[in-house]
Amino acid sequence: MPDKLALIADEDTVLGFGSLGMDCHIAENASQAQSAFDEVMKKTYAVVFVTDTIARFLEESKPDFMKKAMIMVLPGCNTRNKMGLKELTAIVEKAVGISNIMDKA
Amino acid sequence: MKLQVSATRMELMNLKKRVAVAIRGHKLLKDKLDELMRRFLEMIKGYKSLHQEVESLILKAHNHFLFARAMMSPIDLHEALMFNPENQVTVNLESESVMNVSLPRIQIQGELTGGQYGYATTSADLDIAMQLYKQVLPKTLELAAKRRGLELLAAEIETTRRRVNALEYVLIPNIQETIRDIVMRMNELERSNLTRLMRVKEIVRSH
Repeated sequence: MPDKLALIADEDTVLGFGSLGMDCHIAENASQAQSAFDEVMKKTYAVVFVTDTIARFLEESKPDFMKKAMIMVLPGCNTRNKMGLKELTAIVEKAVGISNIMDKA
Repeated sequence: MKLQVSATRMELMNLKKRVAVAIRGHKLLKDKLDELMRRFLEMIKGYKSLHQEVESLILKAHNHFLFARAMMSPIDLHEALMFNPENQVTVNLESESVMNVSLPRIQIQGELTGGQYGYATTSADLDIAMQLYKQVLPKTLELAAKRRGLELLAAEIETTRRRVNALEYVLIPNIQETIRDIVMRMNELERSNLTRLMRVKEIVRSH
C-alpha cells in the first residue's frame, strides 16, 4: 500500500508546503515538469500534489495525466490562482450528462 | 430487432424466462442507478464546500509564506525549513465500499512534524504559514480522496446507465418482439392445421 506523498512544484512551494515532509521535485518549466512527473510515476505514491502551473505544463504533453494516479492540483506559491472546479465539471458531465447541475448542488 | 431463434414452443418458454429475468435486472439496476446518483450529488455538495475551504486556507498560507520569505534571508529560510530531512508524512490509504464501488479514504499517520525550527532567526509569518500548511494538509488529502471517489462513482454511474438503457431499449423490446412473433406464428400454424383438417374432412365426406 503506498503511504507517501509527492509534490511537483516551483521552488517556493516546495520550500513551504513541501517542508511538511513529502518527496519534492522542483520544476520551473515544461521539460522539468515532464521529467519530474516521469520520475514520480516510477514509484507509487498515495497522493501526488502538483501546482496549477505544473498541471498546465503536463496537460500539454499528457492530456490524461490526472488519471495516472491520485493527483491533486493546488495553487502554487507564485501564481496563487484559484483552484477552479474545471476538472470536476468534466467528471459531473460524464456521470450526469449535463454540467450545470454543479450550480444547483 | 427480432432475435434469430426458431419459432418453437420450447424457444418461447426460454424467451419468457429470459424476459422475466431481464425485467427484474432492469428494475434492480435502475434502483442502483438512482442510489448512485443520490450519493454522487451528496458527495459533490461536500466536495464543493471542502474545496472552498482548502482554497482559502492554502492561499492564505502562501501569502504568509511569501511575506516570511521576503522578510528573512534565503539562508535562514532554507536552514529553518530544511533542518529536518528525516521528516516524512506517511498516510494510511483505506477504501470504503459504496454500492460495490471502493472509494479511497486517506488518513495521516501520526503527527505532522514539519515546522520545527529555532524561533530566533525566523519570522512570525513563517510560523503562521507552517501552522496553516499543517492545518490544510489533511483537508487537501480528504479533497483528493473525494475527487477520486467522485471519478470512480461517475464511471460506475456511466456503466450502470448504459446497462439500464441497453436492457430497457434493446434487450427487453427485442425479446418481447420475438415472443410476439413466435406466438403469431404458432397461431398461424394452428389455424392452417385446422383449415387443413376441415378441408380433409370435407373431401372425406364428399366421397
